[in-house]
Amino acid sequence: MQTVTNAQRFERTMREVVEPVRRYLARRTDSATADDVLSETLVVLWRRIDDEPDDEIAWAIGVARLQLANAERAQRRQRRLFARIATVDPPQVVEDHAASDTDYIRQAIGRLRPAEAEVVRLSAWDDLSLEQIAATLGISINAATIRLHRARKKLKNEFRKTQTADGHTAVKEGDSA
Amino acid sequence: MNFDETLRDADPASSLSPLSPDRFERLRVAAMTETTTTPAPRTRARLTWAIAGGIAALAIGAFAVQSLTTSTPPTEYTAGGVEGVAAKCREVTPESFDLVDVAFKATATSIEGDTVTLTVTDRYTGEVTDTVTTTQGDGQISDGGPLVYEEGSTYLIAVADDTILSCGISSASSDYLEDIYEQTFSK
Repeated sequence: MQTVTNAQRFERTMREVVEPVRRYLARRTDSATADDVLSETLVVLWRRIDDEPDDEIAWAIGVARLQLANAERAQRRQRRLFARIATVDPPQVVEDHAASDTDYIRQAIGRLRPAEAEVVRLSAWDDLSLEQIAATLGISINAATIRLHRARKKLKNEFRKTQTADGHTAVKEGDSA
Repeated sequence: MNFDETLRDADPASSLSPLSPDRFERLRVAAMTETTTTPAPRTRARLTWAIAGGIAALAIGAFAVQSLTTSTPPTEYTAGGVEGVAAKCREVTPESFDLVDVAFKATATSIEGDTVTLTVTDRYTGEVTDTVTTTQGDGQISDGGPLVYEEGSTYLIAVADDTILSCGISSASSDYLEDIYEQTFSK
């Protein structure tokens, strides 16, 4: 009964990965797109259940990452299409006054190069190890280590500036990078 | 608060509540059903076109195309709409149809949940299956939002890149819009 085995295996995998994947998507897109991409990710995981590696969380996040990229490509295509038939007032530019340190950090992550921002998110928020980040992004562990180190250094410098400007205690030298 | 704590606290997903058991089950069943019974919509559309193209090449004739497409599963189109309430539709002119690759007239024959099935009655341009499915609009964006269909009503539908265009380019059938379709696609 191979089908039953696969169904049970998929349910077990889904229990392990569904929350990490939902959080991964919630950090990167709107809720409607996150819902769509979650469904599509689960379809792919079920279809490839025979190829499931030992590290199912990194595997599932890697699949979600590609599905999200597909969805965003389709959205960009649609936006280009609808720009031909409608005019949309440009969004208001919001001045860069962060309401809090967390807002400031989010904005600072957004200002990093996309590849650097992604390793920070994968490390700090998705809680992936360097090995998992490397597997998810398809890069070497060495490249992931360097990229994360550089990104964190840039962020720390930004964080230090805001702390000093606000009269808070600056980040101590020797904090782990 | 130090840098690492601030970084962790900035996690936008920290307030995300866990999936309910009910939703988990629906997602699990949907994932397993999707792959075993339903091929992807775009594949279906391409397959239909490939079959139709092959038949044309063999010059079997329109009757054969008709009899084949009758048994073809419906094509699923994305319900397109402009984003945000700030959008303002441009006036519909023949130039609005520059990007359109499929245009047809169809009647909304069933609406189940948010899935609308349209039965094609007339074709202006492009290949289209006899039935088409799409998603019902929610009417939240009045100018340029995805179409809101009524069962039994007839619509003129223009599709670009597998997406039904809104902004009055696709709309309930009217003499005015029908004239524009005739004018645009009779060239």
